[in-house]
Amino acid sequence: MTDKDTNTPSLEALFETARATPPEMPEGLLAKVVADAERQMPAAAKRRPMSRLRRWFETLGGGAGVGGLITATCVGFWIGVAPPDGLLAFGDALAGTAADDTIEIATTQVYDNGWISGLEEVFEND
Amino acid sequence: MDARPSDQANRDADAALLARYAAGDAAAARLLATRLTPRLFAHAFRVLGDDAAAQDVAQDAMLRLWKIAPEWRAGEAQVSTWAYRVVANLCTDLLRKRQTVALDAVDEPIDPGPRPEAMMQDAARRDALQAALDTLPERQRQAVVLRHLEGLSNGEIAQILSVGVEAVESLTARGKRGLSVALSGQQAALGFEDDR
Repeated sequence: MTDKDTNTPSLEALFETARATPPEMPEGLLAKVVADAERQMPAAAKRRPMSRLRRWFETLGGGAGVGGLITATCVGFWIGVAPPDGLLAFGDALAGTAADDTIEIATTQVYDNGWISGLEEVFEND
Repeated sequence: MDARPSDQANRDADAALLARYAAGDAAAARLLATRLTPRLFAHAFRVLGDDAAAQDVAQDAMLRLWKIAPEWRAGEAQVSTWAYRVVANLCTDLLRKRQTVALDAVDEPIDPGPRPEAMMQDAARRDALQAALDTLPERQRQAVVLRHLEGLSNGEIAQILSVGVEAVESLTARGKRGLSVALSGQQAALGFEDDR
């Protein structure tokens, strides 16, 4: 392929050869570029490896989640130590282990305490 | 022909990798370096004709990219275009410094002697093209390299060289005429048959 008038090799053929055989990147250049990247990485964005304790903490929802768990645990413990009036009898009623005449008393006490509403009607209909 | 990702997909990938690097992803940096560094080195080498200088330019351009990563805003510019522009400017600075060196301080070129018979034809053609490129004025050389060797569009080249598209077309046309002059009479040496 030539330019007949100028006896000049076809530029397109030379371009094609050059595109097909680009200059070979020197050994070590890529490693240097990557090393520069690591040195320049924004300090605030560098990821810190998470400890197991931190991963557990994040799984439970962080501060809000763990705080809610602690509160629920404390309330549950307190209920167990000092249950509201009628709660134990109500529990027996639900489990079917209480005498019939205690059912109404228990549900009324629980209702008056504001815990549950409407269940008195349910027991009366049984 | 193998299907290649579209240019837009490539540009989006570069921008996404740069954002991930800025957020602290070292793997993204390695991938982006692999994608860009060979192209930047090739551009610099073809413009400068000097392996060591091209290495320095490519490394310097990538270093500037890492530094600007936290401020990079996606959509405003293409990462590769920005990087090519840095390489072009660094090459321009180097070539202008070379021109200020006194002629009597320049060593006489070493006569390479007759070409070995075993030289590969492709290598000979590549070397001839590089030698011809070295004769071009700097802006014409950049335009021809970016257009015909790196395969960039006139619009991208216009952004890289900070000129209009018409100027790019003029630079590449004049550059190709200059290459033809530099290569005249070499068809036999480069293995091209006489069509006459």
